Amino acid sequence: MIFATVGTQLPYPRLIRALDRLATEIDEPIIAQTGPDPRPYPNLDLRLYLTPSAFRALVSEARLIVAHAGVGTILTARDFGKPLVLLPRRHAEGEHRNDHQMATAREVARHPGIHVAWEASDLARLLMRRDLSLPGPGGTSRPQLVQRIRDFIDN
Amino acid sequence: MVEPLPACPAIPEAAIIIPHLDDISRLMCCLDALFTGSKPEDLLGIEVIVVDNGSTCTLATIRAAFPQVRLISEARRGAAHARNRGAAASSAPYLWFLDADCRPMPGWIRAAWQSRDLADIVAGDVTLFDETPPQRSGAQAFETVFAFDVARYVRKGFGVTANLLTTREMFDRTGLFRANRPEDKDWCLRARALGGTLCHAPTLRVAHPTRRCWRDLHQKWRRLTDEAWHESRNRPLARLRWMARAVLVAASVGPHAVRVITSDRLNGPTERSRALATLSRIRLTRAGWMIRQALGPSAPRPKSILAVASGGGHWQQLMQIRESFGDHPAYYLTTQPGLRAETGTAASLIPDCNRAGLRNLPRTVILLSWHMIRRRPSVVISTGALPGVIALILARMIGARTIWIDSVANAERMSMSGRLARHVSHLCLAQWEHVAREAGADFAGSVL
Repeated sequence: MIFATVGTQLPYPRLIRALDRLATEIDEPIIAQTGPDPRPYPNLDLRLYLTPSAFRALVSEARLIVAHAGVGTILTARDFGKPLVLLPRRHAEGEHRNDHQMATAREVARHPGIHVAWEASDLARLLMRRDLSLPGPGGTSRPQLVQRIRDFIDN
Repeated sequence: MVEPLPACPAIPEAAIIIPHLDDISRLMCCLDALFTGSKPEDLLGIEVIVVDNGSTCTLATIRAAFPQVRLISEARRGAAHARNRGAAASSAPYLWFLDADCRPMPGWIRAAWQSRDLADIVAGDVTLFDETPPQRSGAQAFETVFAFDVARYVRKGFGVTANLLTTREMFDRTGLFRANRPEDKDWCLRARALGGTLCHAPTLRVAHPTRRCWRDLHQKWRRLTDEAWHESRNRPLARLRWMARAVLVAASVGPHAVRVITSDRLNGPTERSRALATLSRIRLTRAGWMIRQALGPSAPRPKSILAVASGGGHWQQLMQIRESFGDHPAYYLTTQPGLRAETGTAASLIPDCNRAGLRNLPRTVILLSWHMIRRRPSVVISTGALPGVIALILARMIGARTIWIDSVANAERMSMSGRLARHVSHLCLAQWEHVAREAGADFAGSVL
């Protein structure tokens, strides 16, 4: 199963529409959490809103996660060891307040397990691949961040 | 290795949660015992979740041998975090806990199913076995006599997570396992304080290996002693009590030597004398540790922390750094319902607001002010977004110290919220070096 998520704040029809088209071509169900997007997508199993625990359950069941370049999704996919395909939101398309998702995607594209589709047309190739790398444990500099905060709190 | 299972119903009835860290061969034995000891119909509606706690070895053999097992991972070290992750990754109404190094008896799943409603918490029994042929080493002989007296634990009000059943309802009501303490005892006592019932199920058994050598036994007791001191050191007269306990631990060698001599589980004079030697050695070592702890430097005074984060990525980043709070009590505020269960502690909702939608702003300010006055935090920390900045501003008014962690999503320049927060925070950290440099913030590391 492929699990697609666009976060809860903004709709992301460019991604969901592309997946809806792809769903008829690939032999794998796609469950999509579409956020505040009332459009019908007949080929997807739609969930408008998911509780955090239902969200995690779907992530853990999925073979592959497809998403916008949101940090929450990146961290969750890594926690569950799932390969992640990102299609960053673009400011020019009115998909976010600015282009920070493009910057995030550029920075995380070199991490194992994260595969960036720069255009919606790149999605098909990535979704059909069965050899996508898996995320590593990541967070190599997280202990230093935690220690810095701890020192501040303790003193 | 095992028969393919019938397909699981969409929502499993029970989740068996097994934390694991670099112990593949024992985990294989555990899963093998669990599956080969169960009939296919017993496995219907059961999901088995192995939560890897950052192993350096590969889990490929497990994945290949047990494709029906859900493998997930938890980055934060500690079985408590791993068990919490397992519980969060399932929606089953029954949560059953095992340890990776124990071997469930044949038919364990059926027995668990039959015992599941005996109480809110069902403490299964733990028997011991040796992984090496006779004769037993000192550590093995000692553990054979003294380890895992579940009947006695249950009389004291707790069970062990090597073999423990509970319900989602009880788990949600009690909250998460807490790290840096004997998490099973701590959790059971909290559940019992909320009216949860506990019973001992002697027929629901797992076998646990005895510690093979002095080093393993030493390591186990060092951890237990540290956790127990950690838990009690803030109570009144903690040092005096700890010192008294150290004396009792040392003195317990006498009466417990009688148990070794009269135990019917040990074979021959060699095992008995080894057990006696290990008994004296471990108790005196523990007493030594405890005396040093009682005389050691005092723990820092706890500071109350208020942690504020909007739902989604901001919240996830807060979860990634919250271990920095240590033992300081923390209260969480967030904008998304349903995140509360994740913190395992108290949390409240605040309305969301951002640049695009300032409609909620007055309500956000009022609620945040109320929490500041009510909780009087000494440290306020936020990972964003706008409600977090407002929290930091209000925190300055009551004299609290403030921390801003700019979201790792801002890979090019600091967010608008971050640039505001930089002026009101005592510690302002960006998660990219170049972003920190440009904005005049500090850099220490990142959650990515």
